[in-house]
Amino acid sequence: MKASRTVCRRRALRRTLGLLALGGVAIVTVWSATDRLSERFSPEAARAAPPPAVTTISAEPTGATLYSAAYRGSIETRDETTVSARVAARVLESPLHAGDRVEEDEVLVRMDTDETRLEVQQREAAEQRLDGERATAQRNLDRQQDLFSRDLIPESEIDDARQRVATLEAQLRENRSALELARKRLEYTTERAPFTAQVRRTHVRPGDLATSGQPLIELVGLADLHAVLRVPERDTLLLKPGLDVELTIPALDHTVTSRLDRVYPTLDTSRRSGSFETRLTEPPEALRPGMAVQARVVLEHLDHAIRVPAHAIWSDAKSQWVYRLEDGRAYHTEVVSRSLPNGERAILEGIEPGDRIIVTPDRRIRDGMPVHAVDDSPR
Amino acid sequence: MTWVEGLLRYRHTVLALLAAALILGLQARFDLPVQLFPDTDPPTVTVITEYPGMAALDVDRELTRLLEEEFASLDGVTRISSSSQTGLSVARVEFDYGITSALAAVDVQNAVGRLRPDLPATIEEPQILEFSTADKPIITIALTSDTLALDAIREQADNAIRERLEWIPGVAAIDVVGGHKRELHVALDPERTEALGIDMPQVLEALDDWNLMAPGGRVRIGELESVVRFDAPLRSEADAREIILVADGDTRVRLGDIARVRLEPGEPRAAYRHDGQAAIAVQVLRRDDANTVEVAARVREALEPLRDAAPELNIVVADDDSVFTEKVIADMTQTVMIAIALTMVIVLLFLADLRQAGIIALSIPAAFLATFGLMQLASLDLNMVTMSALILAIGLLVDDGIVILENIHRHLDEEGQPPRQAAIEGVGEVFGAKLGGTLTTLGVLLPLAFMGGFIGELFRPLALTLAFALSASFVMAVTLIPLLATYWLRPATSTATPRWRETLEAPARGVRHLYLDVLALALKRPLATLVVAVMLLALSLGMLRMTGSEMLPRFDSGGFQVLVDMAPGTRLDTTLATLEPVERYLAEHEYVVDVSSQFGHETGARSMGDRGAMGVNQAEITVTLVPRTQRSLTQWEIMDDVRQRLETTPGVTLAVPRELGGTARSSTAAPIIARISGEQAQTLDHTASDLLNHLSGIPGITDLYKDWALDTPEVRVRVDHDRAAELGLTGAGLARAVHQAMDGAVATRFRQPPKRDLDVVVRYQASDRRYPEDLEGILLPTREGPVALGEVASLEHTLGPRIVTRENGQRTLDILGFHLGRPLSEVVADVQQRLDTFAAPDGYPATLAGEQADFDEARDHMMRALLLAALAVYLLLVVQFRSFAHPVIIMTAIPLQFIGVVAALLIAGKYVSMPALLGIILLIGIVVNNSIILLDLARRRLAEGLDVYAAVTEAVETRMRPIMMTALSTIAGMLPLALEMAVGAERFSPIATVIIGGILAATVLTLVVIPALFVLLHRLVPALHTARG
Repeated sequence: MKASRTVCRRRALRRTLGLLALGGVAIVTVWSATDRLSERFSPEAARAAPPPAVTTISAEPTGATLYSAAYRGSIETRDETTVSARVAARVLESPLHAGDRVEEDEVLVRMDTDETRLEVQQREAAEQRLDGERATAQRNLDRQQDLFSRDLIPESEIDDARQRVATLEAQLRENRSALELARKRLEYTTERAPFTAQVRRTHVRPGDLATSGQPLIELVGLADLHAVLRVPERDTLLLKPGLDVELTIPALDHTVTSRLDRVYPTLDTSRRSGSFETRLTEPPEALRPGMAVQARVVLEHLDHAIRVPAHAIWSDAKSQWVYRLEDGRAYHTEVVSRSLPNGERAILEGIEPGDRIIVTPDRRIRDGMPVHAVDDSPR
Repeated sequence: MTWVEGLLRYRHTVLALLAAALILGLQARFDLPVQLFPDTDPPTVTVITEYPGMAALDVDRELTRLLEEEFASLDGVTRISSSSQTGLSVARVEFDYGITSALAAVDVQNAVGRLRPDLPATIEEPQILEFSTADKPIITIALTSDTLALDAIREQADNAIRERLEWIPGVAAIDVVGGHKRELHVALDPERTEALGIDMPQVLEALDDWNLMAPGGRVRIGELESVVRFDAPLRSEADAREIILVADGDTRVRLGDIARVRLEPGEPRAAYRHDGQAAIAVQVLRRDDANTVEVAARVREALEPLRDAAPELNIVVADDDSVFTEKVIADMTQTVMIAIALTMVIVLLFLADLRQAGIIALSIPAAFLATFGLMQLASLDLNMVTMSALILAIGLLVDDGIVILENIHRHLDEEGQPPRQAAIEGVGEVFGAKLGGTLTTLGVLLPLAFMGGFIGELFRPLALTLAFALSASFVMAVTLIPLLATYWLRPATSTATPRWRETLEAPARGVRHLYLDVLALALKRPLATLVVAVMLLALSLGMLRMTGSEMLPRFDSGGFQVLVDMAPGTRLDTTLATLEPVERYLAEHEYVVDVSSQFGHETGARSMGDRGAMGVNQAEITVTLVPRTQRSLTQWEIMDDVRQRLETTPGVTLAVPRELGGTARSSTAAPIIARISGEQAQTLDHTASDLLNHLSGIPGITDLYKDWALDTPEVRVRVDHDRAAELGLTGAGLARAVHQAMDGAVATRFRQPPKRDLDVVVRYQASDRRYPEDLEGILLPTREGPVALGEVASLEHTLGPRIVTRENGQRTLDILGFHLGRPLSEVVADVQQRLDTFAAPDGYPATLAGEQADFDEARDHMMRALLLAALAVYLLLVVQFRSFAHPVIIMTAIPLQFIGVVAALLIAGKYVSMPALLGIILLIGIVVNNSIILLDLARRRLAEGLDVYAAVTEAVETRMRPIMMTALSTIAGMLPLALEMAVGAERFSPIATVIIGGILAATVLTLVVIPALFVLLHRLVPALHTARG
């Protein structure tokens, strides 16, 4: 009896425990299932894309200079000459070499004078001879006149004597001219510098036979140096005399500011490039004609431009704009800007001083979009 | 002579054979190659072709498209994908699994050869690689130095280190990254060149001409002959400076007059940092068929002598895939031990006999060793999959042993037979049934081993390993166990049960009684029982549909990569400076081991990641964490932290942290891919932007981005044709001149034996090629003298693509997404829904690709395998039971498992995945075993004339113990895997979870529902009874 009650109690306990275990498993399963279903039917909303992080700069008006593109050209001079031989003669002396400096009137080339000197001497001798002959003929004429006045000789004899004097005088004049010519030719055997200059090139060496008209030496004057620069066709319209020019002479590593003196009226048809000229007021000592120069013309000085990195300005075919930061949002702001050298641009219109300009080139930024501004970066 | 008699007679032979098998197995354990995953990548051949200076769209049109068309006709091609970038075309061809990559490479090589005459003349020779450029290097070595400059380190890396590592077997290529490669740099001063009337081609030609190494023929000297050589290569910077470019009279213009000539680091287009510090990276790419762990070990070994040879260098392994693999294998081996211990506890509890438990304990390692031997024969390796299979096997492989041992013991104990006789009869009785059971399970594994496709490659090793383990366990159960039993087992000396056993048996008895109560109830109302079971089943199946699914469970691999994009067009130094704080933060993070960052693309490097060669505005930060067991934060929390940090960094437009192994197939770039195909780049970009907006806001998607866009700043040079013609310039000549001035041209090679040659690069000096105004100032040689580019062309600022991709011949733009928190299937369903409502322009269809496509394909394979497995089991049962109807009752247990499967998945918080499906398939083989044992006895009792209730009740009473015991031992064996105790176990833990749930449900329900069904059927169809009778 007691045993059967124990069995009954055990059975009840077993069932309770069994049911509890089963129930436990069921509850956990149902709970997990509910969880899973709620996850499925009302999932956690997607994380909103965070606003793009940006850096900004404060718009501060400063001075800026607008330059043209860089033009290339060379240094030129107006004093250039080639000294040529005026007589045919052997070169005796040519003391100068390319690069030598010569003062005005300094001897450049000395040529053989023997031939011309002998000719001069010959003419001088002839003059003496003719002079003597003319004096004798004169005396003879005087004598004949005296004889004629005394009717000792006929008139025809006086005429002969007179003719003789006139002939000798003409010969004398002729000889004098020839002498003059010979003297000139003698003088031509020595060539002198027409102005203070530098020797660009010598064409003859002592011993060479120079023929008349042959170049002997080329001279370049160093006063009045100026730069001539080539300009693309479309840029010629931008340039006017009076603009400042920043001139760089790469060879000398030298930069000077000069003034645009004249724009040449015609274009070079082969290259379709125009050119302009600017004079160097204080040329550096070593400056030489033919040196390459590079120049940028200062087109405009702006006093109140806002300089920004070029990547802060967006553009399409129609407009240019920046994004301005205001109350945590980016605002599309149209601007007018010009290019500055070294990757900068100058904003001329559209931005007020103190505006914050977004300089992060993030293409996700749109008008009115919230952005996350990070510590301002120094420009 | 029975099996066991023969066994006992030839026991020496058998023992010797066993010993041999075990020794071979032991050796195999240490010889088996180790890797993380089975090699599931299809054979891939990549063709990299450089097309210097061409824009992405032109490379695509003129080169990549032609290559693709040619490759499409090759045998066995399954997929062709390509990317075209500025100056670079990469085409990737995937082949069928049956083809070896070497043969595939030959086919591709031939195709390139056939096409070569039609390809543009200025392309470089196409490189054909037997691996994918998307593959991550297996090991990255970071080189730094306290004394050497980076370019000096780079030189060492390019020479001594590269040479040493290239010789290592299994290494496919070495990439050296860190743009500090030296070159002989000739920086032209355009003013001087113009002033002296020299142009760039003249300089290039002079350099090439005077880097003299040429043959001169032969000459006789007496009876000997000599070779004539011109041997005056450039030997120094000074040599190059002295090269005469122009000789006019006395005037000589030398290279040094117009250019700065220096041996210096080239212009960097790539950089590398280790833990935030600038370094040079040496990346090792393995051959497709080489083993990661072995190659990595050889590389590490090779580093030692290099360290000794260059003490000034700090050679650090920054990223090593094999470390994680080794950790996973070690952890899993530990899990195997724990599983064995747990199983042994269960066995000991049930058998309550140390000798018996000892015999079982011995049979486990024996079966394992034999399994290792078989694995080696089948060329399997130790990886996450096969290790999971081994853990799974533990629970299953003691079954046979237990049943046989128990039967021997019963004969010994209850029938008082001598051990020998007990063994003969004990084994004889159950031999057939156990063989049948084992064959049933093998029958399930067979379709799994031949599933085909990617999933087949992934699970074939698992199926084979399980099959080997089960076969081995069966062999051990019928050889080793009877032998040991004969010698070790003794009949019980006293009939009194020990106290400790009594304590243990009380609850067991309680369970048994409870069971019988429930059974009585069920047998009283069989129909109601069935209805309840069917309702539960319906509910479970409904829930199974509702619960989400994913391809493979995500796992905390302790390694992730952050893809970072700065605004397109950002320069390398800006990218470097911007990301440095994030790298430093990571380097100092307590859970971070290594931070390895790569910026831009190193020219010539073959590893590119799946974003194509990176631009200088892009970076990839690879982070290695301590194993998940050693940290309190999950990998995803750390990833999210990094994402947030990067999102608040100005200039960063994209920050996508991706876990390594985030997708099941390495060739699938992201779990979610919406792909738009079409021809016009502009429309593609536009449509993709619309789609991106359309898709945004789907819960669970963490990152969504386009793989390319028309967003990269381009300056288009519009040449005035008339002006150019007037000056005698040609378009191509003009472009070449600009390219040479800005980017440089390689004039010749600077030889510096024994080190590698360096390039002699001529370009404008840096200050003359920086801004657009410098571009306009580039001098073009014309017959009228040099003319600036600005005089003949105008510049237009536009946007172009960084990269253009194609997929199977179609130009495509992918929107990639990652997910977190929600299962993939639900996210993908939402994506699909939105795609359905997306109005794409005509000819620009948007489709869903990515992991879901892989999953769909895999599910088809698995469903087929499931059906085949069920069919195989049915046919085996028909043979075993010699009946067509009874197997149907037995197989009723199969659907019942779903009740447990769903509950287990829900409780464990896991989703349906490939491993879970695999578990379900494996369960087919496991759960029918219980029914077999049960019905076998019931039928026997029925045949002996018992009525159906009595027969069934007796069958349940008798068979309950072994059924419970095998179920519990299986569960104990699988518990460590289900609990994810090992690092990396997350991947395949659903197999264990599902099997545990399924076995529990099937065991409980088999013992209740199957008898009820049996009774009901007998009541409804008496013919069954009579027919069988």
